[in-house]
Amino acid sequence: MSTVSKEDNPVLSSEDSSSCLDESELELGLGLSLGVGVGACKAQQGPRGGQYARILTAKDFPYVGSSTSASVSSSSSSSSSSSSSSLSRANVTAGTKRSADSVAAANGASSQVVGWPPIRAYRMNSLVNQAKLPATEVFNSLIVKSRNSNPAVGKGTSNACVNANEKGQLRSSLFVKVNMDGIPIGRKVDLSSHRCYETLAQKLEDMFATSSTIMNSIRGEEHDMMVDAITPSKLLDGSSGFVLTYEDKEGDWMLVGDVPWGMFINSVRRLRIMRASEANGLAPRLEESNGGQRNKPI
Amino acid sequence: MQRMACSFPDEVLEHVFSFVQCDNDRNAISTVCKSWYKIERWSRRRVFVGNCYAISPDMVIRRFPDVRSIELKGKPHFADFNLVPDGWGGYVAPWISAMAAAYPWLEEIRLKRMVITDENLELISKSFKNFKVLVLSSCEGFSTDGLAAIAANCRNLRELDLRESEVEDLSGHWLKHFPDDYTSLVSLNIACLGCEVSFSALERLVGRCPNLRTLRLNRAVPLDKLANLLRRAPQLVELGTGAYSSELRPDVFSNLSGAFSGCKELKSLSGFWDVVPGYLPAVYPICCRLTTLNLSYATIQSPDLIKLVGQCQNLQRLWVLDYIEDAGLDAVAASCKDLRELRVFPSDPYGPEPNVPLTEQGLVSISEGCSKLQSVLYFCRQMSNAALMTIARNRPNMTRFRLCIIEPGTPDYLTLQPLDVGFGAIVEHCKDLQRLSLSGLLTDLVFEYIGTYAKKLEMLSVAFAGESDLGLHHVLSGCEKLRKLEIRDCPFGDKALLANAAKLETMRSLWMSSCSVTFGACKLLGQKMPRLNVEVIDERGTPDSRPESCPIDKLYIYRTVAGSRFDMPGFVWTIDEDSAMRLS
Repeated sequence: MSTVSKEDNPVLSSEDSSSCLDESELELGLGLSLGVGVGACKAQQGPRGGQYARILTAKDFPYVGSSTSASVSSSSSSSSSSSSSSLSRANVTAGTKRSADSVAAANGASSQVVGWPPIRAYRMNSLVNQAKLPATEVFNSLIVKSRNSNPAVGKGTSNACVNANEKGQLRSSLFVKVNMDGIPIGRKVDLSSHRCYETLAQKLEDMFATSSTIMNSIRGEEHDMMVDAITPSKLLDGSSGFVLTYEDKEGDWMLVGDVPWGMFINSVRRLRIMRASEANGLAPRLEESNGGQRNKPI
Repeated sequence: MQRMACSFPDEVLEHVFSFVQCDNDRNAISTVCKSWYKIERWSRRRVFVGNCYAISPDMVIRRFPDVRSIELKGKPHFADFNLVPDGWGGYVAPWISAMAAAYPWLEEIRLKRMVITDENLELISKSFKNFKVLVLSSCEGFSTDGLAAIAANCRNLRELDLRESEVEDLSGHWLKHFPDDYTSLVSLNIACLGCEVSFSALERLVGRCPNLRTLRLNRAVPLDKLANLLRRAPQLVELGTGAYSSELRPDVFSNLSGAFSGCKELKSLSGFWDVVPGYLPAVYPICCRLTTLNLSYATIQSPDLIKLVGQCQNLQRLWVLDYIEDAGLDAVAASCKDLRELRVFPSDPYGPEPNVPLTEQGLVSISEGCSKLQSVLYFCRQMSNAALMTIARNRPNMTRFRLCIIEPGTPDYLTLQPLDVGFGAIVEHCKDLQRLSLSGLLTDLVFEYIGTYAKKLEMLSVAFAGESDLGLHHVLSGCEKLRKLEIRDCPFGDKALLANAAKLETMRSLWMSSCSVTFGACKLLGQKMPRLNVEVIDERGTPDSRPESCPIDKLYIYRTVAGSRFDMPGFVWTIDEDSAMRLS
């Protein structure tokens, strides 16, 4: 365990937040240091900001009466040992929503952040499926529901949920499973972080492009199934040899993209990236010449 | 002396050891001498593996040849909040296969955050003749078909608990697979199932199992059927209702109320989806006996909540939505003097404004009125250092304190200062604190307090906090009992991690996501620390395609004696001693 203590080393004094663990302090018996790597990092350090966005820290979330500037001091550094810590400002946003946009957009910033507030999915689904209405209104809407249909609450969104959404009161993550033909491991994608089919398709292409190329490189020879890497061409128009389909509340498989986004969100249960050859009968686009039967109206 | 220690026959020693159940004590026994080691390993019946990748099934089986009960945990805790991509791992299959061959007398399997398939369930049902207990907590990967296999084949099943698992609902008919002569059910928790189960099968099952103590129904079981179930199982100790709503009808009400009154042993209630307040009085007759009440799905307002909870003088555990409001918590503080655990969940976590008058004041009231309070999970929108200091002084017996201020980076709303001193007071006064979750605006100072005072802390969760590596360094160097550390969106980088590399071998695991750790540091750690698995989780593609100084997305480090695992998906990279980056 590190034996560096505050008394021994004024560098570690917490009042001076711009100090840092000096390089030499890290050469403790039980510790490690980056050593050579640090020098190399310096050389590679490009113009600050570069093409990367920043990591968001607590200071990014504006609050009333804040007197601190917006400058973020991430892993602080003294001038001599910039090292990787100053590069912590440079952070490539992963497929998550930590972008400068989401900071600007949000004084309800928490709504844009994955996994925050830390509430488990089943609890969120439960909340979403109950109306946030006063008790009497819940009672009335339930009377109507119980007269009309079976009382079982399925996984799909209920009427009450749609009301809440239209009021804009409650948003939640909407994770649905995505499977791609030829890849045994499925993924999950958060539909509520997208507003249109294009971004969703792009996200899926990114997700599965990684998987498929890696799958090819490791298992190419042994794997029986030929998984074509998805090229930059779109999933939505089927030109990559795969089409994007979804299973709706009634259990039918439909082509993604035919209905308005809002309708899609309300009825989708899961997604499947299907080989175009197997998608017969689903998509008018693939059977244009046949004038194939339209998907059943939603 | 040594002669005396070995002079008892093995059977006597084994009998003595059988009174020692705690894992730590049994581990201590096994280090006394070779003969005790041998006797202990042959007589160990229960094994707990906190991280399924820390050891291999074969190693467990080799050491403990006759295990009857096993508990395994898989994914990191942050998987609960969708921070761990699907397909990361946690597959139980290799364990089930190995145990099917080695432990024919296995009775209990408890899994948490693991992936279990229908095939695995079927193998369990056919391999262990005396199988009694299956608990799947936050698991996934299986369907109701797998449950059907368990129901059909496990003749001695006592417990089937699916708490919060994700189950593919193919049909409700699986329940019919319990044979007609099967009567040994003690505990059934199907609250997470979405589909309707066959109600007649459920009724008959409940009716013929006289030892049934725990019954947690799913939402699809309607309220007007609940009375029938209760009358068949008046010996129930724990009940989870289904949807608690129905047309208000006097006959249904009195039937229900009578059924509840007949349950003289009922101590725990949960469920309460879609509550119609008019039906709440049906449970009033039993409130005085309740020790656990989970109303965290009940979207009822404060006055109704107060009327209900006010009658539960013996309540020890209360889970509730923030609809209870500060006023409701005042009432709880006045009525529930035996309260040990409180959890308050947010009804509208994504709304920008508070929707109910629930503030720090409610928690302060509870801390004043409930002298036995030990465990808190509290979601709110405002907090002050003064309130935290009051809570700390009132409740030095606190052992679990998890505070979630919904907006990241929220300061003390009175002084606009960071909440460092408030949390500092918590760790200073609550000397037995085992678990802590931080939130709000926090600088490196709070971590200095934690490192200085939180000497019994075992699990720490941090988000959107701190300013520099100093913060992380304080925690890693100061918290002697730390086992699990999970961090997200904090400006912690390589320095503290590398300076405290040895500490990581004393912990179960470390999770860091959206921080400033570079791939270079990960490689160094992986090379130098052979007993750690350093997993870089990054969905952007191979970290080699970016500069080594570029921060990685997610990092999961855990100690292991089993080496690298073989089931990593394409987005997980690990580094072995050859310093060559290895894919799985």
